[in-house]
Amino acid sequence: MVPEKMEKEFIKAFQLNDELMLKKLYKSYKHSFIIFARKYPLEILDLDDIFQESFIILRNQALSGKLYEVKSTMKTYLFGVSKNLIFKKLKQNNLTLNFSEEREIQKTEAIDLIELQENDLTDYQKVLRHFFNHLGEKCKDVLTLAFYRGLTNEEIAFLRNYESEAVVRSQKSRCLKNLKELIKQGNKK
Amino acid sequence: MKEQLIEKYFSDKLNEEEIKLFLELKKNDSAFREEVEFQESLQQVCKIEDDLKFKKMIASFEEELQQEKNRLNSNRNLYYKIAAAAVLIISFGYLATTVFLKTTSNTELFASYFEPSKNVSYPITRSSKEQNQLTEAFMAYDSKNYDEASLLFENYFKETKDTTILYYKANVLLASNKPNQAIELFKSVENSSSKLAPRTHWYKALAYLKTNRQKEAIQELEILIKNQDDFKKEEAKKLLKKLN
Repeated sequence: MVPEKMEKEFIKAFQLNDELMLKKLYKSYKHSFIIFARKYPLEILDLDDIFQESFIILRNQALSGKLYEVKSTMKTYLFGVSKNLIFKKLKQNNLTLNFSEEREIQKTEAIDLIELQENDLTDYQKVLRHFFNHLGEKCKDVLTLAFYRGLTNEEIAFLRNYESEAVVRSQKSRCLKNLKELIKQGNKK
Repeated sequence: MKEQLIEKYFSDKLNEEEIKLFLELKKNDSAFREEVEFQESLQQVCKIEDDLKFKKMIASFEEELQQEKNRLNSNRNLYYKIAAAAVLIISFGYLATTVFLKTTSNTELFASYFEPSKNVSYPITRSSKEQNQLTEAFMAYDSKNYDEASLLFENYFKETKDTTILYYKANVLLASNKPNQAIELFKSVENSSSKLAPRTHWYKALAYLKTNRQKEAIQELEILIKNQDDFKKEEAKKLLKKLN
């Protein structure tokens, strides 16, 4: 059997937020997911929610770089996540799982399902968020690409048509400076 | 230098030596520590904002999928409707054509085989009052003046109760496109003591053909063929072949 391999180009699609590619992935995974998940006694609306949540978790794992270490394909990984969410939901509905389902959960890699919620932000971070939203679109974009999507300066330069990575670096530090300035002024008021 | 170190930290590209340096600076350099903490907080903020945008994007994918599903369903419904309509049109057409063709062919057969019976019962002479009435009736009958003939036959029957005359009256009815009344009358003749009773099967067969009751027509023809009388036997056989 050919060992499964994570598709690096799909991880990249999440980092670059390549809408066309992501749409294609989403639709094709969703199609297979519904076929696979139909056997569980859950409402179709629950399955829709579970799939969306799984896809968001998949993206978080892609952006944090964790997917690069996963040995399976992206689809297998996604289905592993969604299976965990399905079992979680079944338990919530007071449906007991059978032995093989229980074992399957244990077998599935311990995937961190905890998603950062809005109210998980510290007070300082809430203030930071407020001022972050006062920045120009370009700044928000470059900071997001660098700090959350994990893109290098070169990649950002290529993606957003900056002349060079040096331009990206100076743009980034200018944005950081702006943000600090905004916070400082806000604190004075 | 410090800036690059922080940058490498966020893109997870520090080597072992750099990690040592990074941790040391974070411990001892408060400005450095502050900067790292600031950027870590910023990372959380970026994540929350970006995740929100991403959720909106996949919501739009979901919407698209739903629309595709609806379109597929409505197309499928449309196909079903078209298919149902087609089946209806085809079957109606088939039914209409077969019924129409059958009717036409039965009518045509009737037309080509039916000929009002010749007067084989009453010699035409003008001797008595009754005879005169009969002569007038058959003159009207021969000249296809059926309304008059019908009336005169009826009068003659009332006076004489001779059922044989009803055989001719039934012929008039059949010739005047009243096959159902003709059948009833032929039945009375058939059940009477009239010599012409065996012949009624031929006309009943034709009358049934005219009303598109092929089964009954065939039955009558079969009875006719078994008759001892040779009347219309050859024609009956030919007609039977065509009907079968």
